[in-house]
Amino acid sequence: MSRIYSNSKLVHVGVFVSNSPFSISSLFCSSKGTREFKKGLDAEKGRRNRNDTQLQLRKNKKEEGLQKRRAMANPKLELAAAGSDSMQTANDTLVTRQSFSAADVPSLADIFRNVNATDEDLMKAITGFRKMLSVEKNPPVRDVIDANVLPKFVQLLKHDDDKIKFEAAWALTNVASTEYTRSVCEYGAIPPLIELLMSGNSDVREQAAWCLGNVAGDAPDLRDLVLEAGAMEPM
Amino acid sequence: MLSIFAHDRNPINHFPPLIDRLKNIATPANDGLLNNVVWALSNFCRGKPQPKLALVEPAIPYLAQLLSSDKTGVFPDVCWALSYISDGDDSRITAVMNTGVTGKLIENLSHNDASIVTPTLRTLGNFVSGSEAQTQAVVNFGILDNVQKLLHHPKKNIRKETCWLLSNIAAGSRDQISAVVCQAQIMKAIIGLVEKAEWDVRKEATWVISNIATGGLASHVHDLVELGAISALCSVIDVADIKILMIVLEAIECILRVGKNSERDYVGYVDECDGLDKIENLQEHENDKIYKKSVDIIETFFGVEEGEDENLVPAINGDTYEFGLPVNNKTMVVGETQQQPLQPFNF
Repeated sequence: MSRIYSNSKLVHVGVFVSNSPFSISSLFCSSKGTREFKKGLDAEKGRRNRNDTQLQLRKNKKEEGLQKRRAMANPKLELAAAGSDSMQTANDTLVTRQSFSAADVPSLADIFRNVNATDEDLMKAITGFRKMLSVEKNPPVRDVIDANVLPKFVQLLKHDDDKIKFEAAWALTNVASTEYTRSVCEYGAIPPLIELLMSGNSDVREQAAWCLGNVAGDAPDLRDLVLEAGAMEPM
Repeated sequence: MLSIFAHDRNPINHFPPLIDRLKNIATPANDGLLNNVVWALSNFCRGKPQPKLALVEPAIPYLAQLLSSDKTGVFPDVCWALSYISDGDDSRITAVMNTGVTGKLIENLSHNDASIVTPTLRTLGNFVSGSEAQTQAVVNFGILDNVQKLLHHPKKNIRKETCWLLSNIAAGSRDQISAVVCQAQIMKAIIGLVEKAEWDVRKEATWVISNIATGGLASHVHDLVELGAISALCSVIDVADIKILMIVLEAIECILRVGKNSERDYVGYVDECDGLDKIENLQEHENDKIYKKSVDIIETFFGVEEGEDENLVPAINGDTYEFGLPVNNKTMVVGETQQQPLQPFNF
């Protein structure tokens, strides 16, 4: 199945402050030529710079439900996906349960704590978390963070299996889309996410970009962390 | 210095060829991936304080490349990214303008999709807020032929941004002011917005008129008056904040001065639309600058009872003034205005 990104992107909203001070140098620079009408007038003339603050955050959660609705509405995509490198269908058969809630956090976290967990177990657990975090309303992000599983999510970004990497990146994308964006960075997700921008799998690349977009969209200092870690070049 | 760089035949091209970087954008696996990567990239460029130009600059050629493709689905995010990058000093504007996107951006102003028009307009607005040459380049690309419709756009933000853009062209050289004033439809629409619009739009429209009145030639001022600028400006006095009040008064002052120098009864126009009463009221304004400016205007142009000797006027100003040429500097200096002879009234 083809990846469909959420179209619930927040719109840019700028507050336009036009009575702000503007550059006087831009007015009186030599290239402006002579302007006798300006003499004695308020020096605050000339070109005014934009000075606005962006009110809304630009972060997107990737929702399970939305994606499914879109996929069902477009059978062509499903057909196309059958031969593609997409993994959604595989995941759905691997983990048959569709619905996870905060009540499932302890049992899924236990799988991560088990040193003998197989890749299949890990896939089940990360997919469970991902689904839990992809519900439309109030995903239990706090519960997930409190269960101290984010370090494991980050670790799974470096797993051999693309499917697991993908699920981990999706789960982290949805954590980053909330007010807990900083938690994602604190556990060192940025460098492995940047690595994944160069993955051989396009779904993994896309999900990594999405997660980094959410991190950068949270605050200028996080954006700079992403840029200074070298995220631009592999984009 | 030269010897250090002598080996570098093409100093602009410090980057490897396009294909080696930003591969997800240059050669996207599919449109979904491209959409998401460009959106994420726009977030990399967004926010204040801004990221260092050097960190985001490598993306610009790729964004420009997308803009010349047929992938209109990514145009909004491409243009948001360009608008974030070009928001600021001239070097940021140059970094974006140098990729040759200006013509394409202007073309996209006519797009039906407001989600494309909005960031496109912001980017072009940034361009004309730059240096004289940067502004002129955008004017040369014909932007003024493409913004008129936007002054009537259903989206308030688009009308406001369009006014802001025009006000920055009107803040430029005489040629740039002429280019704006020549656009009769634009001018009519702007006057209309000064008279009646949402406050944010009205404010920006007022800036356009004030910039023309204070920076333009006498002929520009006459054009403004013919379009009804005096009553439009006076209508703003009732609602304006301090900053806007100030630019309205400066505009009225310049208009009256040009009227006086060309023996046109602009004073009468101001009075007819209750402007005199409004300015008189401002003489009690709590803000010092407003109060002083309004007193100044009243004394200079409306001091009829003191101006007994009406014969003085044409002899001094009328003879030296020539239509369409810069006005005698002396008459333009605010500090000297009170020493000027008074204009006779002809009601």
